[in-house]
Amino acid sequence: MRQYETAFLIAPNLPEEDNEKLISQMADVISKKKGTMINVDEWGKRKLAYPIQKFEEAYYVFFLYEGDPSIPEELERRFKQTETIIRYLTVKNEISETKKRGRVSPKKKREVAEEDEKRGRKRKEEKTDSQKDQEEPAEKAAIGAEKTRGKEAEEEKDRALESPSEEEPKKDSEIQEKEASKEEKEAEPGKEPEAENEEALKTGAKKESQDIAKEKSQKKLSTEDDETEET
Amino acid sequence: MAREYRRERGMGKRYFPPKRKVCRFCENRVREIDYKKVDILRKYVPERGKISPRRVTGTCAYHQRKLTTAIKRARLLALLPYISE
Repeated sequence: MRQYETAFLIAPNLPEEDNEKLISQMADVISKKKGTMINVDEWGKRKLAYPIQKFEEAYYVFFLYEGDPSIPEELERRFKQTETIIRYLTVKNEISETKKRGRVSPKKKREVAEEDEKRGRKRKEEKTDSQKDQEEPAEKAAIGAEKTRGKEAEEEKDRALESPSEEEPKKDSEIQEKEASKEEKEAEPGKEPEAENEEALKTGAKKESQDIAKEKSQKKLSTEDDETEET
Repeated sequence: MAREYRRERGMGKRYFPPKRKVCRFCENRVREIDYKKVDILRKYVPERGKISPRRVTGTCAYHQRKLTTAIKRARLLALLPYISE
């Protein structure tokens, strides 16, 4: 049994009664082939992003159903025959399949949970350290750690399956800290400013970076003063 | 000499540390991207209708792959334009 999602667009010039008839006809196909309809989603008439067969709008219908591969086959055959359907798309839903593949035995689940606990503690410790010190490299490392955390969550299962390694995140953070401190040393005042203002970052992050920029500018000023004194 | 040059450059332009871009889908723990959610896809398709690259949006490789397929599906159903001016 697989989960499919079929979308089709009905021409706008068709009266509403015929619309309903068409939709019920197509729904019958699924029930006849012993499939189970999970959800029928009707968006109604919607403006198209570009004209299809000189129509500017269309009636959107989405079927979500489970069953044999013969069902979408039959549906698409019918779509081709009926001229009032201007476009259709069938998608195999990946979610139901990945769940089966990602099945983990209870033993491994326990191991993963234990690792999570350990990691969680480590992460918390790192955070508090950075808050205490309030040094720029520490902050950067914390941001980096946050970034890696998201990836970790994604790959947790895979990692647990391959080789349970607890030291990896710690090492990563250490390396990042070192790198961050290097960057600080190397950072020249004359570097090109990044002009790209992406929405991707939240306002909180922006504030942080602004603070860092302020601190840096202050430092810069002090260093410049030193230089003038020397010369 | 080197110092003077450095100072001159430092006077005009201030150095801003590059902002860390994080994949929005990773932040929200989204695994699959739905082609029906047009308002989300719109953010990754600027006026011209092209799919914006990873280096601009900060999306991770995994989600960029999902995004492109979702956008292409939406285009087929005329939810998004192929081209627009």
